[in-house]
Amino acid sequence: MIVITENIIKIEDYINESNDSSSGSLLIFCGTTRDNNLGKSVDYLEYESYVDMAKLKLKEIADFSISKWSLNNLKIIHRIGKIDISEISLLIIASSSHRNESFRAIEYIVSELKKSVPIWKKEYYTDGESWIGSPDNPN
Amino acid sequence: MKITVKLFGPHKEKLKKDSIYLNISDNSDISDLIFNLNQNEPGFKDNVKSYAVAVNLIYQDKDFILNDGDEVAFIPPVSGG
Repeated sequence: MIVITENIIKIEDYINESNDSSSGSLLIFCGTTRDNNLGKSVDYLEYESYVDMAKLKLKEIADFSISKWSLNNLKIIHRIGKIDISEISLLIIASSSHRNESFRAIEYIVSELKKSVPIWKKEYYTDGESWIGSPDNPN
Repeated sequence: MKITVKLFGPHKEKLKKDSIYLNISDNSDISDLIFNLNQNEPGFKDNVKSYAVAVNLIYQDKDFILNDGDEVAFIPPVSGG
């Protein structure tokens, strides 16, 4: 399941249907928005996406991960739009027979997402704003 | 041929638009398109060298030949997660 949404991400909306009897591991990763970056105090963030391409790239990453680590279930949910501090911007739920596969898959998915999926975030400070990934504010 | 150019993030903000519609010569590649945009869109070329380019949702190299109706997206460094 691949979802890009402007709605608040609630783990409970996705967790129940992720359980399956053949899995011994159900791993949940949440990327959350923090209140500081590079010494600046962050008030909130905004995420923008090229949605159709982002879904396509996420599906490529998901299909590869499911195959490589024999995942029984995988969900990737990314929020866009304005996100307040401490809210979930990224939720990944992976289930597999054993824990190692889920851990490795999630590490790979987050790493690939940050390299190739067309999603951008902008931080808002009390005294300004900045796109992350720009030359003056690297990712 | 007609091409739609999509802009995002800092690039969109700088040019104050999210799309550009233009006609270019048949058999143009992405480099030709960039040359055209550099000539005709003030502010386009700043930072664009570090951007990736996607045609119809798929990343392509700068020598990729474009076709009529293609959607070409300039992708600034991504920062999801």
